[in-house]
Amino acid sequence: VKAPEWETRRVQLLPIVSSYLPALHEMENGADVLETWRLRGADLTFEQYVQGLWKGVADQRLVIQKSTDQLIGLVQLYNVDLRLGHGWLSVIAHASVRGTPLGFEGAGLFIARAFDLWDLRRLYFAAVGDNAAQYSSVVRQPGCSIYGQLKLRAKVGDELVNVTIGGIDRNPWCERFARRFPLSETPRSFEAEPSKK
Amino acid sequence: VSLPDGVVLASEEHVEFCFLLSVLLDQRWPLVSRFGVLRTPLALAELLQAEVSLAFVVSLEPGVLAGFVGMSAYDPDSGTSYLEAVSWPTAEAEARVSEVIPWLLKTAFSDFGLQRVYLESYVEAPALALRAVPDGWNVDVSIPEYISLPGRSWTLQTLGRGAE
Repeated sequence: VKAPEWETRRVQLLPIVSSYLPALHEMENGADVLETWRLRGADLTFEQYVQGLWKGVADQRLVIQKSTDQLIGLVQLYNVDLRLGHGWLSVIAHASVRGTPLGFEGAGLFIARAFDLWDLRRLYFAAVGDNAAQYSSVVRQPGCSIYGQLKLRAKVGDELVNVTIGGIDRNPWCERFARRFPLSETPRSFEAEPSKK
Repeated sequence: VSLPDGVVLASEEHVEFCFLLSVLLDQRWPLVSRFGVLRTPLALAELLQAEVSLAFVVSLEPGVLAGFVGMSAYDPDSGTSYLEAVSWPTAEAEARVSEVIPWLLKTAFSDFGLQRVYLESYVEAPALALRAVPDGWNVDVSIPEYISLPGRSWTLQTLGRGAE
């Protein structure tokens, strides 16, 4: 049995392989994302960073641009609660692709992977401050909702900002995903659910 | 910070009570309990240490515990935290813990220096803290079908309030 290839024509999801760790550390510690991404300003050494990479994380994948083999993102599933059928999603895109369709392509693929491999009915996400704007194209998709904002929950620079909480429901997303993404090899879950095609 | 009568900082000696409480609440509200699944006292203590920033034990009388109040998910940068309160499921214990919640809320702003306090509560089963202090909250986030089972669908709200 061949495992499904989690890739589109342009990007692929890879496990956390050591050869990409320096680039990953550099991306997550960039000044442009340090305060709004999960590290929230923590100045970690490379060793500290690697040790904490799986803390609270159930699944994560590197997003690699196939044409260049460059790391362009990291997608994570964390705080999984199988009893409630919930998990949390975090997405970071490299500055070179941030805000572009390519930046979200790996995330879309990973969401499908999460719904395929885990018994989850909903993924939540939290966006700090202006990061919420980056999700504007995502939340127009079927099954995506914004549930509100935790007022003044985070500090970015000297400013207190809101944290936007949103969610993605499994069935509408998977139906949409099967049509939208140009899969080079269709994941098994969609082959097994012909009614959704 | 001066503590009200019958309120002490939670410590290792209260872990067993907390464990019994989590088991009991699991039996009453199988999907709503703070702790989710039955755990050993040690595992529960580790969980509490990881998630709860500050916890106080509330007593009905010396040696008779009523419940816990505390703050979780403290963010020192923004000065925010979540209010937590849980009681032994009797009217007397609930009333006793409810008496302490206004003190904790006031203390959170005045002594702990918090800028904003959040509270999670189900619309269909309002949290003890919300029943104790029903006014002054704003609904920041409302998540429908947070719990979704045949015949049961509950909405989770996160309410917030600033220093008064």
